[in-house]
Amino acid sequence: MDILTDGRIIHLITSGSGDIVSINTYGAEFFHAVSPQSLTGKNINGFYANPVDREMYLQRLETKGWIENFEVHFSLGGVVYTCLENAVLKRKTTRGEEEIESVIIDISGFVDSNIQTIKLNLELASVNKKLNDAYSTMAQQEKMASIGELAAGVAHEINNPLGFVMSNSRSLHRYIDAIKKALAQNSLSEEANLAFILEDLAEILKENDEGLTRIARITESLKRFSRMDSENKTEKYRLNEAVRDTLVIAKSHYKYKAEVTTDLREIPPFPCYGDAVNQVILNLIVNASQAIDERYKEKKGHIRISTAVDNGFAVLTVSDNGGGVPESAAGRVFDPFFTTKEVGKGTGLGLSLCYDIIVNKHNGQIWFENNDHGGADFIFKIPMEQGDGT
Amino acid sequence: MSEEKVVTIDMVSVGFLRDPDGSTLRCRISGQLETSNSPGFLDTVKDELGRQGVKKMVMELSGLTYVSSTGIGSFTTLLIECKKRGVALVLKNMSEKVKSVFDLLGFTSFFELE
Ligand SMILES: Nc1ncnc2c1ncn2[C@@H]1O[C@H](COP(=O)(O)OP(=O)(O)OP(=O)(O)O)[C@@H](O)[C@H]1O
Ligand SMILES: [Mg+2]
Repeated sequence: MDILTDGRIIHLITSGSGDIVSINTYGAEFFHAVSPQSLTGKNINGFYANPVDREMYLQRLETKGWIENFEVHFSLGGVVYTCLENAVLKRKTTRGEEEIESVIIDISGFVDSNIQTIKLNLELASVNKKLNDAYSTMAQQEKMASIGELAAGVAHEINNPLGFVMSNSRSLHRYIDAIKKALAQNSLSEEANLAFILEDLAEILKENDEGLTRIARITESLKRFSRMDSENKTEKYRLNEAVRDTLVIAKSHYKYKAEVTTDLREIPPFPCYGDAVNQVILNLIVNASQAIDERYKEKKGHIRISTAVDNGFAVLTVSDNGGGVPESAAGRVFDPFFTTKEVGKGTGLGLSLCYDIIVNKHNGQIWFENNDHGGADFIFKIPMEQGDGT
Repeated sequence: MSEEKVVTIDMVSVGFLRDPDGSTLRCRISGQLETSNSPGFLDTVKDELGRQGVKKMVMELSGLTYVSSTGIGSFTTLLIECKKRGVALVLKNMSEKVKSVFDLLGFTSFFELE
C-alpha cells in the first residue's frame, strides 16, 4: 500500500491551465469519475464551487511557488465539499510544461459539524436575545407596577395630614366670618368669643404647619427618589438620604407590619445609578416587610437598616425577623421569576432586578444570610469608585 | 476616536472608526481572511467592540477578497458576541466572491447585509 495511491487523500497533477495530467484512484472516486484515466485531459476548474478559490490559489502559487492548507470548495453532484489543498508549482517537468502537483484532503465532515455547532450557537444567541428582551419588558412592567403601588401608598400617607389641614381650613373660614361680623357690628364683644378664636387660631396654624411640613417631606422624598434618571450616573449619590427617602415613600407598605430602626454611618457621596439603587433599597424593604407579614399575622415585626463603608465599598444591610429564606429556596432567590408568594402577589422579579443592578451595573455584590432572629439579612456592597467598564 | 486606526494581521487588515458620538463602530476590512489569521482578526475586532457605548457595528467589506470557512466562523462568533451585547451588526458591500462563500456554507440568512 502506498499513501499517495491508496490513502484517502487526493493526489493530483494538473497543467498550469488546470488540465488533469494524473490523479489517484481515491481522487477519481472523489470527483465521481469511473476511473483515473477517464479524468485525464479534463479541466479541474469546472469542479470548483467558487471560481475565486481557484483564482486566489493560482495567484498565491505564482508568488510563493507553493501553497499550504488552502481552503477550497468543490461542487460535486449538487453537494459542496470543503477541502484543504497543498500544492507546489513545478516549472520544468520532464513533460516540458509547467505543472501543479497537489494533495487535497476532504475536511467536509469536520467543517459540517463545526457549521452545525455554529448555527446552533447562533440560534441559541437569538433565543437568548428574545428571552432577554422579554425579561427587560417584564422588568419594566414590574417597575411600572411597583411605581403604581408606591403612588397609592404615598397618596395614602399624604391624605392623612391633608385631612386635618383641610378640616382646619374650614375652621379658619368660620373664624374669619365671625371676626368679619364682629368688625362690621363694631362690637368686639363677648359674643364673638374672640379670645377663644385667637387661641385656637394659633393652635390651628401650628397643626397646619406640621401637616404641610409632613406633606412637603413626602413629596420631596418622592421627587428625590424618582428624579435620578436610570440611564446616567448620579455623580454624588447619598446612600443614607436615599434610605430615609425610601422609608418615607414606602411607609404605607411596612408601617402596620414592622417597626423600622436605622443605623446609618457616615458615607461620602459616590457615583452610581441612583434611581436603580433606590429601586434595590425599596425592593429589599418590601421583601422584608412581606416576610414579616407572612410570619406574624397579628404582631408587628422589626426591620433594621444599616449602612457603612468597608474597604472602599458602600455596604447596606436590610435585616428582618420574618421567617428567613428556607434551604430549599436558598440557591434560587435571585433567579428571575422565582417566588414563594401567592399568585398575584409576587412576580419573582424583585431580587433578580436587584442582582442585575448591583452586580452587572455596578460591579458590586448582593447576597443574604439568615440571622439569629429567625429572619434574613439582605446585604449589598457597591464599590465607591466605579471603574469605567460598567 | 476620530482618526481611523488600522490593525493588520497577516493578510487581513482592519480599520476602525467611531462616529463622533461613539455609538457606531465602523470597521473596514481588506485582504484575505483565512484559517491562519482568523483568531487574530477575531480578537482585534472583539477588543474594539468591547469599548463602552458601542450600539452598532458596521463592517465595510468591499476590500475583503477571500474568506475561508474559519473566516465565516469569525463573523458568526462576532454576530453572537454582538447579540449578547445588544449591538446591531451590519455587513456592508460584501463582494460577490465573498458572498458566495457565505451562501455555500448557508450563513447568509443569519446576517443583516447592506
Ligand atoms: N427578606 C426575605 N425573607 C425571606 N425570604 C425572602 C426575603 N426576600 C426574598 N425572599 C424570598 O425570595 C423570593 C424572591 O424574592 P423576589 O423579591 O425576587 O420576588 P417576590 O418578592 O416573590 O416577588 P416581587 O418582588 O416580584 O413582587 C421570595 O418569593 C421569597 O421566597
Ligand atoms: Mg420582592
